[in-house]
Amino acid sequence: MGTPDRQFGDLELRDRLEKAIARLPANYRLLIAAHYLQGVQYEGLAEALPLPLGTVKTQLYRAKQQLRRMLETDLR
Amino acid sequence: MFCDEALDAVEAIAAGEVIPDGRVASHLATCSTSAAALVSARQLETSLRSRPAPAAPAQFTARTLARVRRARWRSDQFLDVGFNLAVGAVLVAMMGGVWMLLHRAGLAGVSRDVVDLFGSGFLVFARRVTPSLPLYAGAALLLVSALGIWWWAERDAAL
Repeated sequence: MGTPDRQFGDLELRDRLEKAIARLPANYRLLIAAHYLQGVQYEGLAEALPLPLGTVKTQLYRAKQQLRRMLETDLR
Repeated sequence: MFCDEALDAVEAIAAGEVIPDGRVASHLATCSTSAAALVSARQLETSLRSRPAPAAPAQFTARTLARVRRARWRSDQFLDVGFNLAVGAVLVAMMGGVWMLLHRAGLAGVSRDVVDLFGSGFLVFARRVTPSLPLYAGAALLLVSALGIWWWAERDAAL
C-alpha cells in the first residue's frame, strides 16, 4: 500500500489511461484490451485475428507508442 | 544512431522483450529524449499490467445462465421441428411406397375384394390376397420400424 498521494496519483493515471485507450483506433484498442485486460498472449492473438506473430507484436508496440504520446500530450 | 531508431525500440525494451544492444544502450545512456521515452514506456507498461480485471456487473452470472438456457431451448426447438419434419417426410414416403406396392400388386381392387368377401365368399378374397402377403408384411414392417424410431426418439427427448 502506498501513501494516499501515491494512490490518488495511480487512480488518476489509471483514469487517464482508460480514456486514452478509449481514443485508440479500434484495432489497437482490441489488441491492448485482449493482451492486457484478458491476458491473451501474442500467440493467441496471432491465431485469433489471424495475423503473423511479428505483426501482432509490432501493432501492440505501435498501440502503446500511440498511448504514450496521448498521455504525454494530456500532461502538457 | 538516431533517436527514431531508439524510440521505435523502447516499447519492446519496456515490455522486457528486447534487451538493448550496445548501440541502443549507449544511445539511451546519452540521449535524454530517448531515455525519457523509455522511462515513460516503462511506466505505461507497468500501468497496463496493473489494470485490474473489471468486476462482473450485478446479476451477470444469472443473466448469462439465462441466455445460455434460452439459446439451448431455441436450439432444442429447432432440432425438434427438424426431427418431426424428417419423420413426417419418412412417413409420407413410406405411405407412398406402401400405396405403390399395393397398387402394383393389384391390390387397388382390395376394396372390391372386401365387397366380394361379403358377397362371393372369403376364399376368393384369400386366393387373391395371398400372393401379395409378403408385400403387406414388408410394408407393415417398415411402418412399425418408423413408429418405433419415432417412439425411441421422443422417449430420449423426454429424458
